[in-house]
Amino acid sequence: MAVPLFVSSFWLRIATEVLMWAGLAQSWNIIGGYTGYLSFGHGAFFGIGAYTTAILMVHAGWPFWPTLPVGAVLSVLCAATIGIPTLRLRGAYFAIATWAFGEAVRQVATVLEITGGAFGMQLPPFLNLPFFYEAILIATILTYLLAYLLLERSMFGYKLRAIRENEIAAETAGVDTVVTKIEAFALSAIPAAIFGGLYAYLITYIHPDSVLGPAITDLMVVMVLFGGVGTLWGPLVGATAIQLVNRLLWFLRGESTLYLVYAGVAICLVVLFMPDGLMGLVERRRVLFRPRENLKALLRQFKL
Amino acid sequence: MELFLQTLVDGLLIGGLIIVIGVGFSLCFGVMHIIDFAVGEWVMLGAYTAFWMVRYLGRDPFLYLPVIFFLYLAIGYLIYPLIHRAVSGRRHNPALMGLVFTFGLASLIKGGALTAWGFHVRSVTTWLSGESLALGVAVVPALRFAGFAFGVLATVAFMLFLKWSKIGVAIRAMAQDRVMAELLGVDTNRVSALVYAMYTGLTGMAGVLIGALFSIHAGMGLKYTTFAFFVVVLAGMGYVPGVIPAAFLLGLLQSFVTVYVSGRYTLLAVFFVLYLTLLVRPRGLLGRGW
Amino acid sequence: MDMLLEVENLKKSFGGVQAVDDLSFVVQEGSITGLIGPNGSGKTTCFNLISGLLRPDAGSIRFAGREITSLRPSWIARLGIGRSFQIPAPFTRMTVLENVMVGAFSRTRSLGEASRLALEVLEFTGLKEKRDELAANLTTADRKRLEVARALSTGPRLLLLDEVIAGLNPTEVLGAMELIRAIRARGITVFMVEHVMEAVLPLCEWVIVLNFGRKIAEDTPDRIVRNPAVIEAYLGERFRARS
Repeated sequence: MAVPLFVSSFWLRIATEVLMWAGLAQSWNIIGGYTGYLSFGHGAFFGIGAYTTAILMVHAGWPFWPTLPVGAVLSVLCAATIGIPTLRLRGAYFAIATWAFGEAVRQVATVLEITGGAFGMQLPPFLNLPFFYEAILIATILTYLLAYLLLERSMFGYKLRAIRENEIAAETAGVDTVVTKIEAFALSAIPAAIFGGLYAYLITYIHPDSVLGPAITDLMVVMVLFGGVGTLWGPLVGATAIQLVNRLLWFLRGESTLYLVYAGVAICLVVLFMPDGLMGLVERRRVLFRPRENLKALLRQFKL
Repeated sequence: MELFLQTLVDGLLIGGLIIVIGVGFSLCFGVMHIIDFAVGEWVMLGAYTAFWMVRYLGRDPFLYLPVIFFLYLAIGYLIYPLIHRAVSGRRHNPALMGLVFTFGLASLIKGGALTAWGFHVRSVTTWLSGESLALGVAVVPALRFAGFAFGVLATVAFMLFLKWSKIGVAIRAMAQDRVMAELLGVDTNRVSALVYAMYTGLTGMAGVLIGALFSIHAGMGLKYTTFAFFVVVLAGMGYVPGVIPAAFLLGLLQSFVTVYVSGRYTLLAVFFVLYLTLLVRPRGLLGRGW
Repeated sequence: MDMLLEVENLKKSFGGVQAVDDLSFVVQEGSITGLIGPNGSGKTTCFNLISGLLRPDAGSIRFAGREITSLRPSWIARLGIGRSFQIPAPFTRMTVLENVMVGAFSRTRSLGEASRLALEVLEFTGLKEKRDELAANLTTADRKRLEVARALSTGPRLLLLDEVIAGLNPTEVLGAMELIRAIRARGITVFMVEHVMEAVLPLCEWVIVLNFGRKIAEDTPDRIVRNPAVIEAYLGERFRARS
């Protein structure tokens, strides 16, 4: 896992960010992509992880590592609290409820004393980029491994996709859709919280806008959409592409709220013109190269 | 006691204004099953439009209400085909794509406003600013009363339009049964576009009054998106008449929390009640939701 | 024979419309029972009540002696009632095999075992060759078969079939009838809603007739076709139109 020596800290920082976003996007993909329920407040789990780490380290004097599981557990509890009532209802309610949850968490962080309010809090500085690169690399690999095992190679994943495709049919075929959806939402909160904790320690100074800003959820959504909703590698592809473009823009224009505009425009364009994302393009290309199946499909069109 | 009555009246007045936003938003859901995450952003845009018109053209912002209505009517009418494309995609869950699209739209509008106009807080002055009105025991700023009157008038006009106009009948038919309406010859695409356009028009107009009453800034949309969600969930999603009591309830909640607790906790209280409603009465307080 | 399904005084209304009105009947274990009636007579509503997708306003449903009224659909499925949908509702972006595996999950905790069970069902329903096709690419007849296969994969004792024959061409109708007989031969009770009389009459041992949500008759098929109330309500217009 050693960091190649020739890599400058500049590229290391970019790689770290890309990896983190790839992990965050995958966490959104579990509920938004595989299950088909849109969590518009997923950034809140990131923020909860970040603030848990910060509070435990600053106010309770904890070392860094044990704060991560605490943040994850808190996030899972929050996900269950939001998910249990709303995942019984149609997806629109869930989208509204998660959005409201995200905004509520930011409000809480802004008014509470322990979070430092709008000013935020300063963590013990630990300026060791290679450390964070490795930690985030491991967290991302674990996230993808977890996603692969649970979503692509287990009953759980099939159940989620069945729910996404046709929830009533899934329920009638014996899938307890409510429990499965709540599990998926709780699971999706874990990586987000872990990355939140890592990110807080990395940037050492956090405030509501930096770890609970609206752009965090926006970016998760756009990365997954751009890469390919409900695919294992879509979030990685999307995160890489979007984060690199973001950084490029950052060099050209500096830190700015244009960020939100780009994310918004990208979301709208992808929805309109590329709803299956980049992975969808790849898949369709593969289908195109299967002449026999395509011919058969074509003939069926004539029969109808 | 006096404070209590004052707070009560304040809450009801604000509630009257919120109705306008809730009615259009709820109708959009009832007719097209669209949830517009950009609802608060239309409020913000309406407020800013009034601000800039007053700055460059002078005169009273209230004079521009019709202009702003038609401006946002036109914008909504032009945007709707995009939403339609998003929700009628062939390969993906269409309802999801509609949500994602309006979510992206909200981000785009908010980001655009923040970038163009920054974090400055602005305000507009109307001929009613500073005037006040005695309503029984409570003394209310005339502007607040104007907001309330506007809300009630616009809602009544809109309801009458739904009740009596040809398009209104088509809209109600679509809300009942879309497929049937289509079979009976309703041009559902055009009607949907009109519903969306009227919703953006009304919301933009409400923004002018909200901007005059409170302050105008690029981040103000968040609050009104929250309010709109609160109102439709309490009303029961898609149940338009439920919007009226829900909006008054919101107004009261907001004014009582602001006066008796603290302005900082208003939004939190709103979120809390919203969550409780989802938990206990997801089909709305009247149980008539979708 | 035992009574597998007992429905008593079932009621359901939508707004002012009484979709199912004080309905009582039983389905005998091991039988093929038909549920017929004109359009809008409450057949599908009745199926939705039994499979748990709707909650009845009143009345009770017992399955194998156990009260199942208002249980969640997934529980009812796991207890042994499989159900197909009138308008096929496949998981479109999953393969045929994966579609059927989802149903098999209620019988096993192992993915390999689920896939084995699903293959067996596919073999039985004649879809084995298409197992790797996406469900979205199937023809109407195959989609209806997939509906049956998915319902069978949960290992049901009672299978509710909602118009699996309507819309098929004559050859496909014969195939479907053969499949239904084979299902019963496996010991699975079949309760079917069907419009196509040419299929219902030879298949079913017992037929229940609904009109406006009420049961107007139940009898053996040969007597049902001679029942004046039934002819009046339903068969009359059809047979008159045919002959």
